[in-house]
Amino acid sequence: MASEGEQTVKLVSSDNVEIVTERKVAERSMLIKNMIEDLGAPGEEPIPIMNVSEAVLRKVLEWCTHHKNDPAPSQDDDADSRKKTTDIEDWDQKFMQVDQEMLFEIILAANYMDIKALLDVGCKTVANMIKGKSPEEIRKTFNIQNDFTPEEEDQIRRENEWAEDR
Amino acid sequence: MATDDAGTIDNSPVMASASTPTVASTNTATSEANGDKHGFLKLPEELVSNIACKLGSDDLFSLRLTCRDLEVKSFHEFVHEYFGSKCFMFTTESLKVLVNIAKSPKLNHYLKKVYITTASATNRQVHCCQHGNCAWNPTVRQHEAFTEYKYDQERLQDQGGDLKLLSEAFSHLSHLSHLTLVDHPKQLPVSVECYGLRKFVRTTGIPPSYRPVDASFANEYYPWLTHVFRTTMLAVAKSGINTITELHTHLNMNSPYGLSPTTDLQFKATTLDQLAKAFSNLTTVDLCFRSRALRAGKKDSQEELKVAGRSLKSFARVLKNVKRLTLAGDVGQWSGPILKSLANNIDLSKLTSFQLDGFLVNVNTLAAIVCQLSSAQMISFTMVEIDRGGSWVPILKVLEKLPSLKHLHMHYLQADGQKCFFLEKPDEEEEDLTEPSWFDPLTGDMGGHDNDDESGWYDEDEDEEDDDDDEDGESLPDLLDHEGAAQEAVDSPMPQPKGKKSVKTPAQGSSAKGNGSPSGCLERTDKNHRAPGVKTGERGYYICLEEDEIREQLPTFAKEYNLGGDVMGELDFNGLLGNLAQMPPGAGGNIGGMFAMPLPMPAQPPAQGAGAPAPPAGAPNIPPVPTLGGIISLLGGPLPPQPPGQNPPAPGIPLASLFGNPGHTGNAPATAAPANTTNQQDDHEEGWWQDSEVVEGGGALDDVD
Repeated sequence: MASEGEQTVKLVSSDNVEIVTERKVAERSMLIKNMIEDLGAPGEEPIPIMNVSEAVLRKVLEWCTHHKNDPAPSQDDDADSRKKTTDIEDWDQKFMQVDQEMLFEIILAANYMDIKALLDVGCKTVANMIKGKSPEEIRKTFNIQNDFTPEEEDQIRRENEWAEDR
Repeated sequence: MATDDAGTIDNSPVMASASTPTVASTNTATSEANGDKHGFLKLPEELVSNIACKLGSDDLFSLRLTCRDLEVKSFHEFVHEYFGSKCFMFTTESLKVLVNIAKSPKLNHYLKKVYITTASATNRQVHCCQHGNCAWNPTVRQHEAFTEYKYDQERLQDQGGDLKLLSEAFSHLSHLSHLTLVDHPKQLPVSVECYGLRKFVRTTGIPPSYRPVDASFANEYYPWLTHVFRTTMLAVAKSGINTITELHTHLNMNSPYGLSPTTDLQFKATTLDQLAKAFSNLTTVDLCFRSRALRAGKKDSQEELKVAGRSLKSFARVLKNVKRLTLAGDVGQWSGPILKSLANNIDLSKLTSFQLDGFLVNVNTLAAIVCQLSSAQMISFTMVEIDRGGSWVPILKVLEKLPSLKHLHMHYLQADGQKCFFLEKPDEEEEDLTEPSWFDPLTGDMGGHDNDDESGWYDEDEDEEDDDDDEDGESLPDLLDHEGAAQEAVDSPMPQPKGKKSVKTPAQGSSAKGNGSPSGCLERTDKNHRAPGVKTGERGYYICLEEDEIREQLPTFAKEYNLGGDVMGELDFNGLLGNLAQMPPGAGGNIGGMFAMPLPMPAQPPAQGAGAPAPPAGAPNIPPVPTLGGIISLLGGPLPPQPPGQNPPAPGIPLASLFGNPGHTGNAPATAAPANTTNQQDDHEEGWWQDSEVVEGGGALDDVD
């Protein structure tokens, strides 16, 4: 019988494509890790990843492969992920150089598959895209329509002013 | 300045009507258009919130202005970061922002902790820059801005605008739970923004004045402190809220710039009724008092002290439900009577936490207080000095008997101007100078702690949960049985808890986790209980005991109790003492108790400092363990009478019995002056506050030393 490190698992994407990957890689996802532990027979039963398409799943697994030997996340890491630091490792920065649709799909997939480190990298990438921009520039960057009424916009501006004096 | 957009009271219909619909309509739109969403807008609220928390204020504010969807999804992060706790200063702009937040149905229930700062634009700063030799050289615009701030604060004070704005704000803050007065931004938690401060500094080129840099500016500061504190209290009284559970005064503990009981706590009876109602849910209080310059610009007198006593007595009504009480003083000669006046009128038996910092107190008074702390789980004494030849040994004996006590701090304690060490000094050869200290002053690392608590404090929530846990009480005398307890407390030589065959010495340690604190208390230093940074000598000068350690080690401390050098004898103030010559004598003797012992001192062999009694041959630094008679002599006189009719009989250790002095019981006549209506009237006529507040009807002044 193959050792745990050599075992493979079958993942099925939302568009019904089966992808075989190392168990160690797949277990970067806490969702998959828990499912494997619950099922008890890794490699035999395909594991459905309902909300993630093949393209996104392959991209996520690419990240997991690169980070398969990273230490397991600790509670401190969870707390750090809420901090205002947006430093990203070089490899992760390059990994995140994708079109916006894929970027947000990766973030959603990381959230669904419970891969905190990938989610953190994704959120930092978006935060970096926002930094230093005016509201109008943010709208342009993310193709967002301004749907505020002038009164609503004034209200938000006032709340912003109450938050911090200048 | 005062008409700035942010500081304008927002009465527009949009304010009340549009904010909530914004959320509702957006939510509807979100659910309806969910399928059409793309990119960023596809992210759920939790993920937008995750992104928002990584943004600085400007970026978050921009994100909120992009569209309804992102505004709604980033709102949680926005409101919790910027509106959960907020500090305000007494300027029109700052207080109007508080009112705006309070009146915003979208924001007001998030604001739970309000800090009020004493920041002010003072005449002194104006005069300083006009007379040269001042580091502040303002431009004309900066000077005008500063002057405008000064006039604004004067207008608010003269016309009562600050009281009106504050009470209006409080009346809308239905979730306000913490109210804190701070006298410096450093007293604020890192995450708390003081609204208006940044603009003040930007427009004037100088920070506002917070508290005096030295005593010569106190006369300018005290009336302002009084105004800020009293206005805040009156605003709470008038607002009609009763949600506040914690009241704090985070004033500078190292200088005597606390509240004056004479002027700051004196309220009309009707106001006190309102305050008692408003603070009916108040459970945690810390108050910082000064005992000098009780009335700014006037010389202190016994009459002022009597007024202080009456004020404290009446104000104590407001604190009737308090469970955790922290009192800070300036170690002045009247700090003890002030403490006694307040303690006499509070039901101490209800307190689960009691902390004293900076008091010069008579041992009788302190013992009487400690005896009543039958529910206290946490007791802390820091820089507390016993006066008039008293000793800490009787206090240790009382502490040992407290049934609920789980955590005890005794830091930098003194008696008659000398340091008190609760462990004997070993011979030089025997002392292991290479012994590692748990506390590394360079890294702040506390070795041996498995579960260090970042706060460094005992978990008070745990206190409440453990209220009924009285295991230790089973092995201790029933303190409600006065006679039995007294006999047990005094006569039994160092009683040991059940099941303990021998009392471990501190050197042996007793903690379940080796030398570390069971709860991870960061006040724990080393097994010799030395102050942080002190490696040799001074054993038992910085004590943290928990759980069983208390009963195990207190008898040892009582045995090994010894006095060290004069706390002032080792200090070099580079001439600073000259400024203090005006202070009345008190703790520390030679400088009127201005400073007690704020800093860890270099090691000094106990009983070798100035004024220390010569140790007996063969037993250096170990004073005789006080026997019953010794205790009485150490107490220095009759026991403190309980003023009749002030305090209901509270469960606790009967002090009179404890010290074997049946001649002085709670029925004894008060030692202090009788009721003094005339003096009170004089005070009223001379009082600066007479326009707004009238002194409460006089009561017998029987709670002042």
